[in-house]
Amino acid sequence: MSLSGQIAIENASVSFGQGAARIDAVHEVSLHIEPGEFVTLIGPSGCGKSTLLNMVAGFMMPTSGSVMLDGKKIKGPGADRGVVFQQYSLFPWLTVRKNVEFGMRMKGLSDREPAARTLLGLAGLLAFADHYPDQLSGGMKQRVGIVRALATSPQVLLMDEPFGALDSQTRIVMQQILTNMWQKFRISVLFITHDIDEAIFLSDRVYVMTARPGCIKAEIQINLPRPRTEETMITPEFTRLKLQLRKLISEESLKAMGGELKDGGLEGFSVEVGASGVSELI
Amino acid sequence: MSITNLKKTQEDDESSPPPSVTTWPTTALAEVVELAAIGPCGKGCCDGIAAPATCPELRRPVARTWPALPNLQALVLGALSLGFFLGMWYLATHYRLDWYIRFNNIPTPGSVFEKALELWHKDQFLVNMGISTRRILIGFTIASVIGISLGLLIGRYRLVRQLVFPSLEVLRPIPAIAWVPMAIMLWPTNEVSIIFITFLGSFFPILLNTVHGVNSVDPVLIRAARSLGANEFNVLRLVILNGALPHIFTGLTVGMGVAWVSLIAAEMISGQFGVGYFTWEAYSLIQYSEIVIGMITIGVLGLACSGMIRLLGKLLMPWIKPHVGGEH
Repeated sequence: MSLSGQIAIENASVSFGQGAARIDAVHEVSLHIEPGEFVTLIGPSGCGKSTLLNMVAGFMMPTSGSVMLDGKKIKGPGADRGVVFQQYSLFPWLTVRKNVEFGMRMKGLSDREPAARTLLGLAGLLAFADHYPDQLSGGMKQRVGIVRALATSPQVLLMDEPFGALDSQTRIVMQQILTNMWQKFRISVLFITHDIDEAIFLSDRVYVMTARPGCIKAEIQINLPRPRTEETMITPEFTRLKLQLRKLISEESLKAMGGELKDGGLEGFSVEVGASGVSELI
Repeated sequence: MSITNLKKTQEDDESSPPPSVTTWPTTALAEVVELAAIGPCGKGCCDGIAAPATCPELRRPVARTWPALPNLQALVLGALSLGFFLGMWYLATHYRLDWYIRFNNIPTPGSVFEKALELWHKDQFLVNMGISTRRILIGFTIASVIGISLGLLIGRYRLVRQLVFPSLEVLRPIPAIAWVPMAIMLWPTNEVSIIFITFLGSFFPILLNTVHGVNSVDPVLIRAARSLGANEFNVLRLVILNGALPHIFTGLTVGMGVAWVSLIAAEMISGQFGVGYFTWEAYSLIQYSEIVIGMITIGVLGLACSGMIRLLGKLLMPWIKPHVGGEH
C-alpha cells in the first residue's frame, strides 16, 4: 500500500442559517495533514474544530472552499476515514467483537473474527470480546471505538475529543495506547482536543484556532522525540510549548467569552463582540 | 500503583535499544495494556477505570446469591395474595352476600372448577379458545409487520411522515370497537372483520412506539455507521431498527393488550365462536359458571400472549439488562 491519507482543506468556510440569522462557524480555513502525520486542532469551545473534522468525515460540506483526501474531493462519509466520537458511539446491541466487525461487514469481508480478535488483543480487550458495551467502563468503550474505526483499514483517523469524558489517569493510559496504535498502523490522524498537554504529547503538529468564526491562528511544530513518555512532559521544551500554546489559547477563550485581554488583565466587555442583549444589560 | 508501573514501563522503553518500527509498538503496547488491565479489584478484570459494579468478577456472585431469598418470599406472598382472593370469592358467594354488590347469582369457586373440568373434555370450548388465539395471531402479526415497517419509514423519512401521518392522526382516536359496524360492511366475512378489528386495535400502539423508537436513536450511532461504510439500507436495517427495538417491544406489549380488548368486544358483538362469544353466550343462556370460565380463559390467554412477547424481547435484545423494579 502506498503511503496515502493526505488531507488538504483549502479556504473552507462553513456558515449556518441565512440572512440576519447567519452564523459563520468556520472562516477561510486552510490546513493540511501529510500521510502518517499526527495533527491536532486546539481552540476555545465553539470555535469550529468539530465542524472542520465533520467536513473531513463527510458529515458536512463546506459552504465554500474545498476539502480533499489524497487529491479527491470528499463527497460523504466513508470507511476510508475512521471516526472516533466524543460521545460513546458503540452499538449497544452488538457485542464488542461485533462492533469491531461492523465496518468489515459493510465492506462485505468474510472471515472477520480473526481480524477483530487481533485488533482487540492489541487494545487489551480480548477478554471482553463477547461483552456488550454497557458492561464496559468509559475508557474501554473508547478503546473499542478506536479499534472499530481502525478495523476497516482507513487512511485517516478522525478523533473528536475522544478522551474528553475520561478522568486524567485514564487519559494518560489512553494516550499511550493511541500513540502505539498510530505508530503501528502509520495512518494520518486529525485529533481535536482542548487539553494542551494532550495536544503536545500526541502531535507532530498543532493548529491553534481562533474564537468564532474559527480560523487558524497559529501552526506549531512539535519536535519532541518519540517515543514520548511521562518524562517528556517535564522537559523544558514541553514546558515552553505548553506556555506558548496556553497564551495563544487563553487569548481566544477570553475573546470567545466576550472579554479582551490587555496587558495581562481583563478590561471590560467589548460591545462589538458581545451580543446586543448583553450590552443592554451592561 | 498505576503511576509506578507506568514509569517503570517507560524506563524500560528508554533503556532498551531503539527497536525497529515493526516490533516495538507491539511490545510497548503489550506493556501498556498490561498496565491498563490492572483494575481496582486487583484481578486484572477492570482497566483501572471501571467502577466495581462493572467488574464482572465482583458482580457475578452478588447476582447469583441475591435472588434466591426473595424468590421464596415472592412465592409465599404470591400464594397468599391468590389465596386471599379465592377465599373472599368463596365467602362472598357461599353466604350469598347482598349489600350494594350482589353475589346472589355469582358461582362459587368450587362450582366454576367443576364446570371447567367438564368443559375441558368438550371439543367446543377448546375450539373457541383456538379460534380466538388464531384471530389474535393473524391480526396482531399483520399489525406488527405493517406497524413496524411503516413506523420505521415515517420515523426516518420526512416525506413519508408528511404524506402518511395526517390521515393516520385522523384515524387514530377512533377506538377499534367503533369500527365494528363499518368492518362488517367492509369485509366479506365475519371472520375477516373480527381479524380487522383486532388488527386495528394493535396497529396504532405498535406504529406510534416504532416512530418514537426511531426518533430516539442516538444520531451519533448513525454517523458512526456511515463512517464505517454503511449505506442507507444498512443504516435502516442495522442501526435504526435495532436502536428502536426497545420501544418497538413496548408497542408490541401495549398492542397485544389492546388487540385482546378489541377481539373480545368484536366477538361479543358480531361473533360466532371465540372466547368472547362463549362468554356472552353463557350470559344469554344464564350459565353463570361459564361466564367466569370465559373471563378466566381470556385472562390466561392474554397473559400467555404478553409472556410470549416478553420472551421474544429477551431473545432479540440480549443486551438489555433485566429490569429489577421496586427497591423497598
